[in-house]
Amino acid sequence: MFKQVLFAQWLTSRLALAVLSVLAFALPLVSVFYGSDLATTGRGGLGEWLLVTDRVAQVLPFFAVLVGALLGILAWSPDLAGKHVYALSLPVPRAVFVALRFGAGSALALLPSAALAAGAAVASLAVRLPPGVRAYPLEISARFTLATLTAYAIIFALASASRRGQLAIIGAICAAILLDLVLLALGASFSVTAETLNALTTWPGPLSILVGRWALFDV
Amino acid sequence: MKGLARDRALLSRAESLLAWSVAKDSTLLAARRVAWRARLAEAGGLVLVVPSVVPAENARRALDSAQSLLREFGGIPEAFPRSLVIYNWEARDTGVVLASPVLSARTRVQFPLTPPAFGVGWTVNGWTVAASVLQAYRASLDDDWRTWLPTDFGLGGWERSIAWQAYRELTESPWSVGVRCVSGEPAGCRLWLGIDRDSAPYTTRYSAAELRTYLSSSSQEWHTRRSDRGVACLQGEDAACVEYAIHEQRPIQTPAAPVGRRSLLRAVHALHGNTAEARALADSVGPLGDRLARAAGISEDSLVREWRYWVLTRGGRPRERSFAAEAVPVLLAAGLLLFAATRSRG
Repeated sequence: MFKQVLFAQWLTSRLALAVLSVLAFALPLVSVFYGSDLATTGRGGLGEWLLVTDRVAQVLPFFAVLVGALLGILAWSPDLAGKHVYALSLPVPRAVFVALRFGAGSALALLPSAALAAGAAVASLAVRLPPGVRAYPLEISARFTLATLTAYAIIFALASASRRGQLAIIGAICAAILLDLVLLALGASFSVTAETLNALTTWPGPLSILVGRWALFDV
Repeated sequence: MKGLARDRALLSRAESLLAWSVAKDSTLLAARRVAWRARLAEAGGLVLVVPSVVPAENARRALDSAQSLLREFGGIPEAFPRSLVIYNWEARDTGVVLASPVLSARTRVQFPLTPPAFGVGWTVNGWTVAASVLQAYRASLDDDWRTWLPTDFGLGGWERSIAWQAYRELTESPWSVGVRCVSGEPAGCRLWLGIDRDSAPYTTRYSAAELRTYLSSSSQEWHTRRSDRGVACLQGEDAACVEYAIHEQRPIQTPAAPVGRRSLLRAVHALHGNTAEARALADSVGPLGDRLARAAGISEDSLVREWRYWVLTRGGRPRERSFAAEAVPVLLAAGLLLFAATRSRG
């Protein structure tokens, strides 16, 4: 059953996966834009190059969220289009079907991650690094995979929720923003959204994988 | 006769004008004395003496702002500002306002007023008040700190522009110790920052060739050529370069410029809290590197590694956790979301 679900999801997502995989392979290579032999580059050159790698690093978490979100939406798009008739007609409980869909989407998300890993490996091998600068291709690839999985899981869960559930989530977010505006008007320094975001992005929050060092080449 | 009467009239007129001018000057002087008479402003233990031309509300706001800045910096003991009287030298008759034994026993520290701008008279700026407290504290520290600390060593946080400046200063440093530091060598970082008590700083922190390059640069050559030792240095004598540098104290003993040195204090503040910064500044035992390391509770090499990473990543922290520790929350969250998705009715 899993193979069928995987194949069906592949058919829906293959174009997006192809484009995202190409981008994922290319992104780490941008880090070596300034040339391959940094061990003998001048002082100013090293500083500029570290800046470029840092700028590329800032793009990676957003790209991971984009990949995960897109795959999460595409996982459910055929069911949303067909009003879940196909899913409901299958001889499997819904919970199993949802788990199969999730698994299939997670497996497909490994493709852009593998492309990024390949790009990071090529970039690491192409550059002669000066002392004090190291390459982290494995760590970046693993971080990208986990960040993609996080975004995918969130969007997947949202897309699979009932209309009432989705409205409840949107309502909760709007209520938090409204509360913040009231607190701001009252002169309070506490912010519900800021504290929530802080809790989510500080370890052990689930979004903490998105913050931190994403540089392929780091000091 | 006619002429004499006219002369008398003119003299009388002149005397009248003179009396009028003297009276006017006296009135103006009296008004000026009142306007510039010293006035006391106090808030949270900080005492400010300003001329009366400065609005009272402005003086109070400046004190509040200065206290916020000093609190944010955190490197100065709370009791220190309370041992000062911060006064502007333009204020007259300060003896009257400072007559009490408590205030007269305090150390006097000067600060400048902000000149009148379009539509606004003389005012006090909280930053200048805080800066004067900072300088007074710096003057109370021992020789090592006084020599090493830059003029501005902590007020106002660490904005992006200063972080970039520190980054460029380190990555574009013309000194070999700076290059060694960027390469990851802690000893190079210590020499660049000048935090070890070197008995011969010009020998350990600079090479003769670097000194020669510096002393022959366009901004320095004219000075260098005025000295026999300078000329000998330019002609290739290494010992002369070191002697000249020691005698003229050029370049400064520490290769790191003010922003670079400030970045070390700021890194201690950011990574170990302002109490660590305060402890380090209050410490007077051993070289500066030891003091900072003791205050942070780590070794000196670890401290400079942390600082190097912080500067080169403009505020980043070294990788603290294992990747497994980072993966666990993600996998847990994914599992929970999958569980929620399987339970939803869709």
